[in-house]
Amino acid sequence: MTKIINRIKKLSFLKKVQLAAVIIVTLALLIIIPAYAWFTNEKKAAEMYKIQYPNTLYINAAHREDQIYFDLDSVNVNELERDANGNVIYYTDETYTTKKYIKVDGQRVYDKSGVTHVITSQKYVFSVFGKNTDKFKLQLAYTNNNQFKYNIYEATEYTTKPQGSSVKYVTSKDAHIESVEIFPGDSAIDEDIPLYYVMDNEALQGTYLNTQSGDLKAKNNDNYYKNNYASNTNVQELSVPIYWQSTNIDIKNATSNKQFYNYFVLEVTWDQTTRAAEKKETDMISITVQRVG
Amino acid sequence: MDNERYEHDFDEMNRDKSTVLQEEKEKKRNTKKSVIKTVAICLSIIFAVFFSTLSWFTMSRETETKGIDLNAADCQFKIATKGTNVRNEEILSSKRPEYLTGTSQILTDTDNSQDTYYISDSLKLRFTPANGLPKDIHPGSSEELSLYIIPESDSPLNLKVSLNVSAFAAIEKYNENNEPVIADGKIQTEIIEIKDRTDFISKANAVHNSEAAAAAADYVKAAEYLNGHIMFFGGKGNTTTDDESTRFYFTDPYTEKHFTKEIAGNNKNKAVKLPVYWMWTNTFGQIALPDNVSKQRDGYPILSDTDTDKSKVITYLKNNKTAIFVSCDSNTENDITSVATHVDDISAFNETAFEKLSIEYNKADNTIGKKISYFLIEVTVEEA
Repeated sequence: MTKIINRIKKLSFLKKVQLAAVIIVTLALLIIIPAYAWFTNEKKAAEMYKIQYPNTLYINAAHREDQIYFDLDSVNVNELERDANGNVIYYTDETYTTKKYIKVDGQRVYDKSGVTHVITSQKYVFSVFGKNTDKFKLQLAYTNNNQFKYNIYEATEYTTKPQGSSVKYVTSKDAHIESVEIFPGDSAIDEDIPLYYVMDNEALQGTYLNTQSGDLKAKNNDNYYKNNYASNTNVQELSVPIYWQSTNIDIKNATSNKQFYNYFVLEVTWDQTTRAAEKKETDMISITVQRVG
Repeated sequence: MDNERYEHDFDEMNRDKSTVLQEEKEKKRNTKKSVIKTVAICLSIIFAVFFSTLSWFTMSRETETKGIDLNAADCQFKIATKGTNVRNEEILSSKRPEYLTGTSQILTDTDNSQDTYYISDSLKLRFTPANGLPKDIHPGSSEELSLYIIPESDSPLNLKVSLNVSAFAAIEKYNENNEPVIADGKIQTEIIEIKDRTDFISKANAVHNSEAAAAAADYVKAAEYLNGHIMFFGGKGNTTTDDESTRFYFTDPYTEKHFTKEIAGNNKNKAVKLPVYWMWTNTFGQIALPDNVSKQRDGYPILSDTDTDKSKVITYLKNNKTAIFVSCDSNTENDITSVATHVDDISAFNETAFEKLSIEYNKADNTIGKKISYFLIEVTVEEA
């Protein structure tokens, strides 16, 4: 080795350059030829997939309060219509358009000789909120033992009682514990604050999966819904749930950090004269939300 | 005296003559050597240029269906794919322009059915959507790669297959004034490959997204979790048996992300399926639980409960724990073993360990979903 080094040292500058060039090119060849062989014998294939963003969607009570405060309590189909103060309303006649009053001790009170009106609907406020969503769909699934009809309306929240009809909701303390999406002011809100929700004029648009609009029984071409019961026909038909799904709903009240919230009123209605159900029955109703896109 | 001088001169002349002859010989020898060296250098340069040019052709970045496919004379197979669509083709072409649509050809498969296949040495895989547009990927998703081998002769083939997963993030673009770049009413995003922290920071800064640059470590970690959670398999299981408790998704787990496969002979010019499946398993229980005695398994297992390859998967979980669970400690491997050990009595089930690992697995899924927008699966096939 020493001999070789000495011989190299003895070479002229030009010869040293030539020697270096030859060594470099030889090394390059040694790399390039196997690389070329490797390129042409190797085949590659690829596929690109898109990942769905994890949903952050919640269905909670009014004002995004925890679900425990979304109270679908008992519906009393014999309940009389009451005013905002909880007093039974008396009307002049059965058109139920004009209220009947008298004066007692200088105070205007309802005239109990008038006619009372049995309510035919009950309303419940709920909210849909979350993050990183542009549109969503709502779905209702409900059994039909009570022969109720259900509609969902978008609603606007007011902190003071607005003109016209609205649904009142009273806040609770520390009612924003369940969700990770906290909005400005949520933790500061006190209990017993009244909030008012005004329904849109028209209910949400949507389609039924397994019944005609207005029917109070799940059906699929005169068969009881086969996904629940396959070919069995000896079923409790009013326990077969009806499925309804809304069209796409745009988010509202979007914030700069991509949060949003929408308010809705679920209206449960019944027709006392035509509903073919016992006055005491139990139904299950399920509301779900799914991000679109 | 004169004679001496003449003799001296003659001697001088003789010495000079021989010296001159020697010098001439030396010169000729040197010239020869120089010529040989020069020719050798020139040949070397020619070879180097020739082969590097050919290498460049082989890596040709063409996007038309007619690519230049150069094969070495002894290459024994081609690869092909079939299907109506290429997933996310625009992004695939933008991020990996070396992958081509390929040349279409009608081929017969091993069941003697004919179909249109696309062939290229660097191939965009295809698929046919089952119902409408393909859905985005989420925990629980699985797919089969539409990958076929076309043997060039009737000899059996022994192939080595390597699998790779790369992650891409979509980050918002801002201008120098920290204002979002908006077009068509939407904030524009840049899709960048997540390689390492330094590279990610550089790319995020290039679009003035300081928030993404500051979170570079989170993106890199999310890419690791993706690599840990995407698992590959060589065979399809059975998810339609009458007895639901015996259903499972796959067989033959490729836990090292490479495998060898023998392609049977007598299939010259036929499209022979190379089965490769992947899954982003939804829950930890589907991977690790040996059975459902605990009643905690949500969904079918990735392997049958009687599959001896389950031990490979358990080893995979332990060897890659930092890429599978958000938080690991010195007990993690023991916890995995504990969960994976069969118990006859539900009271012996280590519910604490199972819950802990399940939560950490799900947190990793959540991180993937929030940080990664696209991922690329690359398959390399060569003769073993």
